[in-house]
Amino acid sequence: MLCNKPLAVFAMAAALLGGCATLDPDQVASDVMDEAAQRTQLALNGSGSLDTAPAAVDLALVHNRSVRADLLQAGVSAAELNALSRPGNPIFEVVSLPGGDHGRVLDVDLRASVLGVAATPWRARTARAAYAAERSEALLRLVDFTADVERAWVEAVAARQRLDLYARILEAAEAAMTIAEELDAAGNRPAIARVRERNMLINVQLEYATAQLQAEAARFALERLTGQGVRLEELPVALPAPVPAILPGEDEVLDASLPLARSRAQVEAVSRAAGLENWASLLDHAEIGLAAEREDREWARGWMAEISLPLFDQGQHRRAAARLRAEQALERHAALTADIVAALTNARSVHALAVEQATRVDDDLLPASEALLEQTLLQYNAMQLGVFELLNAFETRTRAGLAWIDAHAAAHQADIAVRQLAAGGSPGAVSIMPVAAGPSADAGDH
Amino acid sequence: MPISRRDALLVGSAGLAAAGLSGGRAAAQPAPRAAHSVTVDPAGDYAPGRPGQDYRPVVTPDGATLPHRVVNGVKVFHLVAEEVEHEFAPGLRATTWGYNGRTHGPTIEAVEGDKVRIYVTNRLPASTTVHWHGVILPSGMDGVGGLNQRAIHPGETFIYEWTFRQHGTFMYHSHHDEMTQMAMGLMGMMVVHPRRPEGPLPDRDYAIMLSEWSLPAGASRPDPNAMADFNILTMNAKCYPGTSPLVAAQGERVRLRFGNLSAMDHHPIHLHGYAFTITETDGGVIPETARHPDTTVLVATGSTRTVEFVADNPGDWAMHCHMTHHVMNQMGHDLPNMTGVDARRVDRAVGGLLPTYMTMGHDGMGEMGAHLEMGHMPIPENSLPMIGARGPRDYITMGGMFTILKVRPGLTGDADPGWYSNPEGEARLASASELARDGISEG
Repeated sequence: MLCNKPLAVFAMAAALLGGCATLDPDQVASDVMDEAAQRTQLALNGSGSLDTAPAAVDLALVHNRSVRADLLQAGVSAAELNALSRPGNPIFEVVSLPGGDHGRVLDVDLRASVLGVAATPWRARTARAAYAAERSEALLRLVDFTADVERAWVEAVAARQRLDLYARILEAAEAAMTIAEELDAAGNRPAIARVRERNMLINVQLEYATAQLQAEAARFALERLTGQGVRLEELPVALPAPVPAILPGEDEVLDASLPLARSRAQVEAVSRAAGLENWASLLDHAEIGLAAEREDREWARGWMAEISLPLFDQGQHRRAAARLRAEQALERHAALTADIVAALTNARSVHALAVEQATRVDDDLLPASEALLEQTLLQYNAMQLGVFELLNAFETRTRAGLAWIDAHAAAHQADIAVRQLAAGGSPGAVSIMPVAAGPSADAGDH
Repeated sequence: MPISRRDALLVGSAGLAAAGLSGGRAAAQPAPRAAHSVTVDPAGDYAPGRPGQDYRPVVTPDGATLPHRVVNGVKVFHLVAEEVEHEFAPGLRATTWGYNGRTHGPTIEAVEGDKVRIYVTNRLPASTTVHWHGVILPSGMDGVGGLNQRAIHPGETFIYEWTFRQHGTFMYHSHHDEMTQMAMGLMGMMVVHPRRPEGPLPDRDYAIMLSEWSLPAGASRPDPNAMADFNILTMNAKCYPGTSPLVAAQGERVRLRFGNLSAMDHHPIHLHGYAFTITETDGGVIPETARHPDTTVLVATGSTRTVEFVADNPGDWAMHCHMTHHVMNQMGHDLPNMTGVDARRVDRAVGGLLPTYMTMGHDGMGEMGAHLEMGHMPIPENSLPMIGARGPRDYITMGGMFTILKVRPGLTGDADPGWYSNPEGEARLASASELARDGISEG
């Protein structure tokens, strides 16, 4: 009979250690998705469209395969955690040798790594911290992804709107060219006037072509993220008015920060790993077990122990590396905290400036450019100004529209950045396009 | 005009000679005399000339005559330089500078030999002076700031005094920062009647100051910085259709006194329907032997010209500066020349962008005023872009330095008699039978 009391104890301890709580890897993805929805405050119900930024996010989450892959990775981590939470299996070894007249000699060993069993709780906690980091990472990717989709949607709508306005500017330049041709045909101007107008037209045509390229780039970026074919015509004709943002506080952002949570988990993981390393490095190889030997039809039972002798490597280097990794993780955590605070300050500042700029464009620039066109029309009617000045004022008003798009896109981008931080997303400088107000091109002959 | 006994005793031989009263031109030939016209003894003492008795007062259309008092034999006038809210024509007002609430200032009238004392009170925000243009007077009275006197500071009153030793048509204007102050309107006419007039007196005597302004459409203060682009040309600070007509009864002798204090332009004033005689400059009476008939008198800036004629041709007669841009109101000059372009093609090109756009100028400017009159083309408030006026038979495409002389049989008073009715059959299109009769093809 192999089973005896020590063996039973051994088996029970292993079973207890192995019976830790487990995670359902298939449920993890769904949990992560739910938390992402809660954090981003987006209604993610699978009924996506390109009508609004949140609807575009919904669309992307359904169709983007990379997101699904990221979610599965969280499940993979959960499964790995489950695996690491159990002690290493004991080794059962049977050696059978010819035994002459008395039958075969059997040598039966059952042994287990001391570290593999005794360190299981430490290893499980380390693995749990690693899983937490992985889960945070998956959640972070999801939160960042939603922000990326919103950003891409804003850029695509803005690019479409810009393209429409550049088409109007082109139309005005073509009208100016028509007039120049008429003046030329009537013999009212020297050729240089028509040539000058032609140069103007070409410049505007190039501007329009650039706008087309930018619109295509923005369309493609949104298409990649949503995993769906996107046509510019499907997008709204204008950006919506930015919703006033509720700016989060520093503590709120730090608490919610997923990079920080991941970093905390990493710190914990490497710290635990360092603690484990303190004696794992000494017990690099230590096994204990039971041994039974059958010879001459008689069983002889005993025990065995195996240990590597720390003669050449006492493990100090592994311990040092583990300690340094723990310190490194702490430094990175601190740096990340500072980054997040800086990003929040930047996002708040950019948001305030962008909203102020958008307000200025709404309240001042648009009415001013409209008034300029109205007054120019009055002066044209009064034959104080010519048709070229009139077209110039039209262009100025249209370019004010471009400034409106830039300013509102900037406000949206800043708002997205703030909400991304509040949802625990990645920190980063808010990058927005400068607002271009007024005609960029010389009025040429007109 | 009666000559008082006292005046007859006081007048010297030189004055009589100048006035042509000494018994013949031959007798006056040897005596050297001043270029200006004199009918009085330069050292004489004369009673103040009385309006209606010693002279027939001049009429300043759309203007006024400066009132005076006589104090101890001196005519006392008071000019107050001040800011004025002035109307050039209905629909165009501006903040200008003037005298006694008017732009231009009221006409000062006197009689040769009058002693005058003119107080000038400055209620402007800037210092000023008054120069009495063409008047022979003591150097200290000439009004050139810094040269003859210290400028009159805001709130101060200056006193000018002299005795008129000449007669004629003169002007007064600021001579301190002239560019600004004259551009703002500080000027007026001055008429000195001869103590002993020669020849028949006019039945109608009009004084007209010609000037020019830069007032962008929609603005309400003249721009003194303008040097070339004057867009409001005025007669007595009014541009047509703001100018009041001149009236005369058929057969009346009419005298027109023009003064020009425009910043940069001379004005050839042309009268339709008449030939007139240029009788005077601000230097004096033109000898009869030097006079000639004319229909246009060139009034150089800084000078006056007086013309006379007998209004024997009834009708409504245009009188205007013959520089064509001077009979346009607020004309823009930096416009592309649209004459002859295909307006429909341009309308299509621009109309898609600006639905209310309409190509203008492709067939000239003649329709502009009528279009504006119809009200479908809004223009800046307070502006008169090339606006003329609705006439009795069509739209009058004139503005600026333009007015109308209305001559009617048996007219009395100064009121506008309305439009002239052409005799039946005048002023009509040619009939087909007339065209055929005279071999005229319209094709």
